[in-house]
Amino acid sequence: MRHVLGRFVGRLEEPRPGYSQSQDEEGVWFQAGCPQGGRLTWLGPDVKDYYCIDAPANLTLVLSNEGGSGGGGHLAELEPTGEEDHLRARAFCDAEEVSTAIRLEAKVEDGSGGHSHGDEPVRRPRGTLVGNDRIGETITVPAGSQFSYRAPAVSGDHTIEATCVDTSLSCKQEGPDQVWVGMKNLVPLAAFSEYELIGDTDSHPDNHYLTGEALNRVVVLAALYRGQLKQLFPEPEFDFKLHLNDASLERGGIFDISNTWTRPHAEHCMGTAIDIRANDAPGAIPNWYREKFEELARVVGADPGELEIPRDSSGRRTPDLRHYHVRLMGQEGIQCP
Amino acid sequence: MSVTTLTRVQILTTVALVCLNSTAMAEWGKGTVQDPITLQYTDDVEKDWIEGIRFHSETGNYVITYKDHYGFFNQLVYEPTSKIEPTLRSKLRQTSNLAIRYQYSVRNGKAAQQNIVWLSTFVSNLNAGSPMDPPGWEGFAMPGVKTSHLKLSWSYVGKDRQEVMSGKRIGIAPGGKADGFALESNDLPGVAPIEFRGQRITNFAWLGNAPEFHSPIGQEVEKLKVKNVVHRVAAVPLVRVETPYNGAAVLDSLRVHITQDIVELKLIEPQLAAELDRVLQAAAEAIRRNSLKAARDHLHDAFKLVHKAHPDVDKDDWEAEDDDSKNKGKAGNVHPIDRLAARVIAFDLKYIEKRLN
Repeated sequence: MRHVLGRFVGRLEEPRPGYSQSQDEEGVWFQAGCPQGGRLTWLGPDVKDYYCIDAPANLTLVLSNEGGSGGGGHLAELEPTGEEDHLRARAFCDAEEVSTAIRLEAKVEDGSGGHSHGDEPVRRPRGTLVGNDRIGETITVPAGSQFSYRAPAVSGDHTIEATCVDTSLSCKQEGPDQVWVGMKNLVPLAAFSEYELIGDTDSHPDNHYLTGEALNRVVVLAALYRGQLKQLFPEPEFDFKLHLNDASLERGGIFDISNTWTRPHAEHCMGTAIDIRANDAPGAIPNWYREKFEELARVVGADPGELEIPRDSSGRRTPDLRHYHVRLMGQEGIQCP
Repeated sequence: MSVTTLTRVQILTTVALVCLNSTAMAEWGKGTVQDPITLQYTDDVEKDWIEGIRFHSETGNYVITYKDHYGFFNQLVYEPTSKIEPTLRSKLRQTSNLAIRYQYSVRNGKAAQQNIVWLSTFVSNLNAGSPMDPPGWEGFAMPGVKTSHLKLSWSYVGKDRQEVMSGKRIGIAPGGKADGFALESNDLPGVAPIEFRGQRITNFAWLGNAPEFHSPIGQEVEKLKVKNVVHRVAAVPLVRVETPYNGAAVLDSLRVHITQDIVELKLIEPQLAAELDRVLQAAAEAIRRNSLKAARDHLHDAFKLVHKAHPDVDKDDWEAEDDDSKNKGKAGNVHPIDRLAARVIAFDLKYIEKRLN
């Protein structure tokens, strides 16, 4: 590396020409500066490995992905809780690769992944960086070394910000820095005459994303349900429609109905399950038609499961919120992070 | 919660239950207990809980204990939909347009505790206008999820609006019978399992959430769901007959059905299946060579094999067929082939021979 003017590793037994050095109280020489025109930098907080490089140094920090998860202009594209362990952080001065310590920080874009709520009351997970024997949302690695990124269970647009630990250096990050976290190929269930979409909230305004096949099944189920009841109730004042509540968010991942970035709202992570109203509210599946509904669900290849009665925050049963949690693809695609 | 109630619940759930799965560790916590007899809920019960499923011998129901995502435990009563005793009789008839008409009657045993309200199977193909339904029943045929076959099902809807809105589905009550399940198909009969379900007498709902599929208790629940249906076998369209007709291709399809499906159902001994397969392969090759006499001879040989294995095959009286207790499907100790399987194969052989002409 052309710009490195000198290097000091650990303790010196004797002074070296060209360095500004001192002795400590035990008589051991240590480095206190660089040769003329040099600038001191270092590799890491616990590594006594110092370099002197050209000054002033304008460094470019670049993250790259040597694994298979890159694409779409993103540094990586991962499913929730997915991991890419072939990321590398490099520092360049002009075209030359140089050594310095790089601080990496995982960040997340507010409002991404279908979550319109922020860090209150619970801070949104940013994902986890692993490298140089460090783990956390922020780590420091030597330039040129590999590191990993573990996506959180919550989908969204994440970035990995790279900065120089040595704040006296002029460093700028270039290249891809975004990690796309989510399930691909989810499509929104559009408004349609055969059913009603319910359950959208300010925190999760788009709550009806499904895989294509799951979407087909719920549409057929809704049409069968409406058609069957229309035969029994042909009068225009009757119009039985399934009221479809939460499916998945636009990119799947944890669907935190309590805005806490955690469960409970199990199995709503991969676009294969949907809740259907079955309480006493308007549009709910009538009690007298429940078993028939379950059979219609089986006809389209779905697992209707059983009624669910959620609990409230204090643990009380809430029969008014009872619903069907329908596994549209049977047992496929219901393992959530 | 009264002391009496708690005592009753504890006694019933710890003494009278037969343990099916008790490998999990106990965990102290708070939750809701449903009485296995009265079905009443008792909230805020604090005790040691063990996730698992237990059979309650007094009621024939199951008691499921699990922790929900809210951190509470639930001990719920689950009534399986298998408290039925179905028997099914198949009747086959070739129509004037070379299609096959399939008719079924279903009985529910007198000792059954639930009404039969659902039956379902897979078929290779149906003609327009199928399925046909008895009064109050409705049949569906939908593309199969993981198969090229159609999923055929009949479910009891109700004869009129009042019956539907009563929530009480009569279906086939214990000791009762329903005729009129029918369909028509160009495809020849094979033997397939049919699932039956009964109507629960008690309501069921998960508290908090259903156990997740991939959790240990979720896996136990999935095993329990399998017990929600009762299986029987029936003659249904499974051997494909393409247009234009190709006798050799039909024989190939029948060979696959015998050596795979019927063997898998344990309705024929593998040795007999292999023997039949060789003869049918020879018949198919003869048809391909246009050696119709040789083909007819091989078909006769196949028929003799089946007849030797089960003499009932040459009875054309499908109406009188099948003592109810026999139609549960297996190759018995006396015959190397199940009676229904033998008659279905014989029917197919006669059809193929007829069309050689």
